[in-house]
Amino acid sequence: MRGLTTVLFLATSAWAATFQGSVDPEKLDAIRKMSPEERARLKARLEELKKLPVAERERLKQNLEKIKSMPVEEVRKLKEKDQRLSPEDHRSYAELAQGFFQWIRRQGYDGFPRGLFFAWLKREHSDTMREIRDMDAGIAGAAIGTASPRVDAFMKLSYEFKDSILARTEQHVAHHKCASYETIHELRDASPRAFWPKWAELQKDCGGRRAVPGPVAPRPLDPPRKQ
Amino acid sequence: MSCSEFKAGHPSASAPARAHRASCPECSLFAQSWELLREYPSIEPGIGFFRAVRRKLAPRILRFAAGLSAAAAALLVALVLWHTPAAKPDLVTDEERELVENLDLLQNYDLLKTVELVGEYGSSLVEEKK
Repeated sequence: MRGLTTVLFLATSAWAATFQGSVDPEKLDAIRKMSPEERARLKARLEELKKLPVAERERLKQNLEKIKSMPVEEVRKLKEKDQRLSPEDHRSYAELAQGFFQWIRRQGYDGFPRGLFFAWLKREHSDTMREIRDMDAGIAGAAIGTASPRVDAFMKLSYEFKDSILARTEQHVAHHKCASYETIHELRDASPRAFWPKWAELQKDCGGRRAVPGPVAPRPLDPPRKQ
Repeated sequence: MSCSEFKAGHPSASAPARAHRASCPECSLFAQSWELLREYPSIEPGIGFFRAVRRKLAPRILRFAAGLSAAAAALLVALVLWHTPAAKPDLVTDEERELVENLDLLQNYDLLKTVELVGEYGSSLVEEKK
C-alpha cells in the first residue's frame, strides 16, 4: 500500500512538473523559425509593450479577445485597413483610443461599447472627430476633473451617444419585442455608469434570442380565385 | 523448592533451582528437554509469510482498495507518458517564453492599438431598420 501511494505521488508530481511552465510548442516553433530581423522586431515590440501603462495593456488584451472572436476574413480586412493608415494617422488613432479608454475607465463606464462609439462618431460627427484628433492629448495625464478640451468633448459626445443608443434601442425593442417595458424603463432611468452594463446585458439577451429561430408567422391566405 | 515452582521459574541459574534439579529426576528430565529444544536449527518464515499475516490482519475494505490503487497508479503513469509535451520547457529561454506568452498581442500589436477606430462596429440593438 505504501508503495502504491509513493507511485501515485510521484506520478502526480511528474505530471504537474511537466505542465508547470510549459510553453505552446507551436508558437515556440514559429518563433524559432523567424528570421533574425523578424524576431528583433518582435522583441522590440515586446519591450514597448512592457513599458506601457497597465490600463493600456488591459485595453490591448480586451481588443485581442475581440478580434479573436471575429471571423478570420474580417480580421484580415481590419489589418489591411490599419496598414493603409499613414504613420501620423496611426499614431493619432492609437493615442485617441488609448486616451478615451483611460477616460471611460476613470468614469467607471463598464461595458461601454468603444468600437460602436467611434463608429458612431465617424458617421455622425466626422468633423468633430477631426477636431478632437487635433486637440491636445493631455487626457492621459489629466487628473479627474482637470479641464481639457478633449475631455470636455468626450464627455459631451458620450452623453449624446448614450441618448442616441437609447433612442435606437427603444425603437428596436418596440419592433423586435426582445425586452420588457420595465427593462427599457430601467435603462431610460439609469445613470451613465449603470446604463452601459444594462445595455450590454440587453444586447446579449437579444443576440441570444436571435440565435434561436422563432416560430414563423403563417402566410396570409390567398384571396379566393375568381373563376 | 517444589517441582511446580522450579518449572514456572525455568530456566533459572539460582542456587535453590540448581539444588532442586540435582535432587529431582523429573525436573532434571524437564530441564534436559528444554536444552534439547535449543539444539534444533531455527525455522525461517516462508516467503510471503509476513505479508499474509498483515493481509489477514487488515480490514477487508483495505484489501479491495489496494487493487484499485494499483489500477489508478497504472492509469496515471500511462497518462503522464501519453501527455508529455514534445517541447521540453527546460530548453526554452526566458526571452522565448516571454515572446510565446505575448505572441498574439505582438503579432497584432499595431491593429490592437487602433482597432476601435479602424473597425466597423455594429450592434443588433441599434441596427438601422431597412
